[in-house]
Amino acid sequence: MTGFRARTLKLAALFFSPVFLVWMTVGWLSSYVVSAVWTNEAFGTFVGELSGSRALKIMCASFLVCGAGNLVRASRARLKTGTLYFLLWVILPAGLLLYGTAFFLSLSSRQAGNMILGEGDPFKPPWSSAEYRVSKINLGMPDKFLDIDFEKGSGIFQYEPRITLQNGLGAESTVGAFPPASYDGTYFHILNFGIAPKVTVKEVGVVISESYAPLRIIVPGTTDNLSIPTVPFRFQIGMEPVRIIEKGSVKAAEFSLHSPRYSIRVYDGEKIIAEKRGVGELQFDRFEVLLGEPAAWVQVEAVRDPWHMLLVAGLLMTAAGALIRLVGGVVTVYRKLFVE
Amino acid sequence: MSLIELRNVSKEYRNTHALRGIDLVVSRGEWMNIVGPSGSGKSTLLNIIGGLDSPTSGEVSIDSVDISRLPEDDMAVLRREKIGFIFQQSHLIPYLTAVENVMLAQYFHSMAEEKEAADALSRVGLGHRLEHRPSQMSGGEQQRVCIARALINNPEILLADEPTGNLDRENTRLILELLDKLHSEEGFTIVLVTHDPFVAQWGRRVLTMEDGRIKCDESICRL
Amino acid sequence: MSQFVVSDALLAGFRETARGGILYLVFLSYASLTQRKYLLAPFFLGISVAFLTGLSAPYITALLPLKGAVGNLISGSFALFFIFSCAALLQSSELPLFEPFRLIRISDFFYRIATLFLAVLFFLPEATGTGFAAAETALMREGAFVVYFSLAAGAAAGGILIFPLGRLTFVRKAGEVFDVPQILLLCAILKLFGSGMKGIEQITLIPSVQAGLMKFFHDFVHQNFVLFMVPDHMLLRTTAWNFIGIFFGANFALFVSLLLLLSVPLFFLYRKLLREPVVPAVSDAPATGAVIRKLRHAVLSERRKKAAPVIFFVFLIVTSWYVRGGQTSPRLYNPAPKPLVADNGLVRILISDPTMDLKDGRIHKFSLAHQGKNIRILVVRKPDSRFSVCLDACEICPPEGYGQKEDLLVCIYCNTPIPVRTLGRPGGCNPIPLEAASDNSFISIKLDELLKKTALVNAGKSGEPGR
Repeated sequence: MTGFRARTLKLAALFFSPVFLVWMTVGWLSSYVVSAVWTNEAFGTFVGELSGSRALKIMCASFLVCGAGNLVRASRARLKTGTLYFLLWVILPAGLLLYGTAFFLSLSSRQAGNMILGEGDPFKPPWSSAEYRVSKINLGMPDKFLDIDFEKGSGIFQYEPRITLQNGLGAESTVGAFPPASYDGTYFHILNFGIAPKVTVKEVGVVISESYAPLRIIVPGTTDNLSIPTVPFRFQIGMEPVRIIEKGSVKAAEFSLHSPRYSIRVYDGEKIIAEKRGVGELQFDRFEVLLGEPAAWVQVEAVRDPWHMLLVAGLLMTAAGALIRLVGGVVTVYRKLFVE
Repeated sequence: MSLIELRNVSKEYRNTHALRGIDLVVSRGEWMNIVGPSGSGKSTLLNIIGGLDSPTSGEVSIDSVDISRLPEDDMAVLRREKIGFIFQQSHLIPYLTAVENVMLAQYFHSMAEEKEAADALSRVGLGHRLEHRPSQMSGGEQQRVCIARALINNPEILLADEPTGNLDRENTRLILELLDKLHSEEGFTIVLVTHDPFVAQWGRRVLTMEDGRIKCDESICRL
Repeated sequence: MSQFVVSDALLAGFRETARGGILYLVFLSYASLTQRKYLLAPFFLGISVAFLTGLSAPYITALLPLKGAVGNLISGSFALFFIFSCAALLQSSELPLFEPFRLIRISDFFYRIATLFLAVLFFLPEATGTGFAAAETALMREGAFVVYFSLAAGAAAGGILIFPLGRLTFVRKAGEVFDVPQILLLCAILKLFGSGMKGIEQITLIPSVQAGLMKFFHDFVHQNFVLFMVPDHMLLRTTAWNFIGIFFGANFALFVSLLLLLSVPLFFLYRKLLREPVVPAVSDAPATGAVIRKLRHAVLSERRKKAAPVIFFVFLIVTSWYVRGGQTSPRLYNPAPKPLVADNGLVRILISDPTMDLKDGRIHKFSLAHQGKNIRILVVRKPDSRFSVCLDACEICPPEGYGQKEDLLVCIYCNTPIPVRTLGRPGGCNPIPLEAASDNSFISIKLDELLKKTALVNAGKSGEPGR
């Protein structure tokens, strides 16, 4: 064997050895820990660098290739125990490898964008020539709801909005929050939703601004801030009940989604210069703020990720493999303790 | 080359001279039988060779190590490493199985290993009796367990004191045939005490004792 | 340190000698059994350097900065000894990981330098602390002679008690159990439980590991949610969230961080105790069953001996973790709350007075007693100059409140770190935000608002993912 070939084989053997894999893992862990201590945002830094840095991409790819090589070598030894045992054994490491590869590929090539849209608004993902339109928004919430309808703390995920998406050819499809819907190679799903009151600002009786303002205020007690470029103040707006009934110490408050009442507070820096509750308008200084009938808004995310299904497959395989190992481990322990 | 050397060894108990000025050399791999009437000092000599008793005077060497002045701990190590014992009474632990009795000898030497113990019992023809207790075995089978136990740690010397004393002729012959076979295979030294002329015919050398002295020391020609 | 009186000086001297004496006896046994007595000289040199430096540090200008670093030096030296011991444990686990490094020849000179360095590392932090404590007490109270004499007397008493133990057989044979990794672990244990000027140094390693781990889990899960396009708005229905709550429970992070910390010692124990022993080849005697068994027994016995200190260390760490539970790092800033009263349904907090200034960027806590309940409020000025006014509790954890570490707010119960600049968002581990108004002098909170938001505080139910 020539010197060059021998050296190449030796290098290859080292590259695909468990020792190299362990050292790469230790190297990554060490750099992660240093980054965590130094920046407090180690994972975010890692993900950001992975998307942008070629050197890091090469290292990750090497790690995955090394892992694959080690899996092949371990599989050859395992096959001797029988095909069924081998299959049960290989699911976990293969799943992890698949998941890791898809994670890496996804981060490297994913394209995503999101927009806040109202009914009738068009949008076009930058990577696509197709244009879409939100033809209908269904917030999935009742018009009238009580304060108690929102279970505090753990009462999340109560409502799921849906939108009807229309493409350039007029074909319609429904998109919800999860799972994402796939059309024309792009995934769509809803990230957020709410109501957008029509905000009219007048200065000395003249309208200086009129627009719909998407606000995150539908959970009773929450407020959102609104800044308008031509107006030197900040507005804090929340929803107020449309009806309150009190009997003794029991109080019931009812809110309306489509005909809401608002609380408005006007800030000049940190100072409150005006506020009013249960209204749709407020006058202060030379200004007048009017909050009209709200429209619905959704925040839609469009994602182009060709590796998404691989990621799902990897995760499912990993979970299945872990479950099989767990069951296998329990059975082995049981046999060792009680049978043998 | 000599494995066991006794130089002017005497043993006295109060007013009794069990041994008087014994000089003896036993070579490596030899089979020597010690015969003589009761009270001639045969068992005393055996015990002194095995380090179970110490001489009143004289020197005893095992493999060039003077054991007559060896501390008890070191003597115990030497006994473990180099000497195996078989007695007339089997002294097997009654609540342990055959294989466990043999594993006990392994345990005191270094560590127990069941497979090796099972193989040793198979070699003495008791592969089918591994899980039997001594009470479930005949006298001959028990003595075979003793042989396996004595030889499990590959000793250089096997000391046997009337090993067939409780057995009938047929079992005696079987035991002696087994010892002969193992002796040829493994080459350990045997020093066997007996009062039975039939037993004394086995081996290569007979030492006749009387009144604490060696009366006769002759080789046997076996055809 | 102003409390350091004669009895403390005696105790300090005794403790230093006892700790050093135990280490010396073990090291002496190891050096004797392995023919490495040449390492005793650098060992003593290291002790001398450490104590000379430490005791003279208060009197040498260039060494004065050491005073502020004593705590860090102690916990840092513990961490270093622990890391070194992990590396040594891996090395002795018969892994081929260090195969490439075996080509490098290590000479006696390197061992001497390493012993000197480790001796200085072990003794210097506590010697420095003792030195400063003694100097300050000498200045303020008993006078130099009394303090230093007490220190020396304590050290002598320690020496008289500890060093004769070296004659005991089991102490002389300690080197059979202690090899290099075990000695380094012993140094770590002695640091862990015998450090500090006045007693046990609080463990800082586990909470740090736990906090980092929780942050990693949080970020990793969040990244996966981004990749799998799972939204996290609080009103959007998706059952995926409910299953990951387990990863954000405090006990999960504590267990996993403990396992991470102990992973190398446990791996060493697995390799030593559970794997088939490698028996050396028999060269000068026939390989009979008895000979092989004896060799195997010798190998197994050696393994068990060397594993014993590691098992003891694991036991100590687990017990210590269990006792200390989720205590946070002592470096969290957690001020005592100042009392407030409600007046006409309004609670007002002064922004600055001679004793405090809410604009200083640190957290300020206040408490309001109302109908038998104590409501704690946390105020901090964010980097964007706005005040964040919130309850000193979140919706998930038992309301033990928050501490501050630099620009992070850390939940005392579950150790989740939250950047101060992100405060104001509701839900998850975030402190529950309060609507508050502020002007140049006061921050005002309506009592109704306080009572309403207090109802969101969880009294102990967990399962909610942190966001």
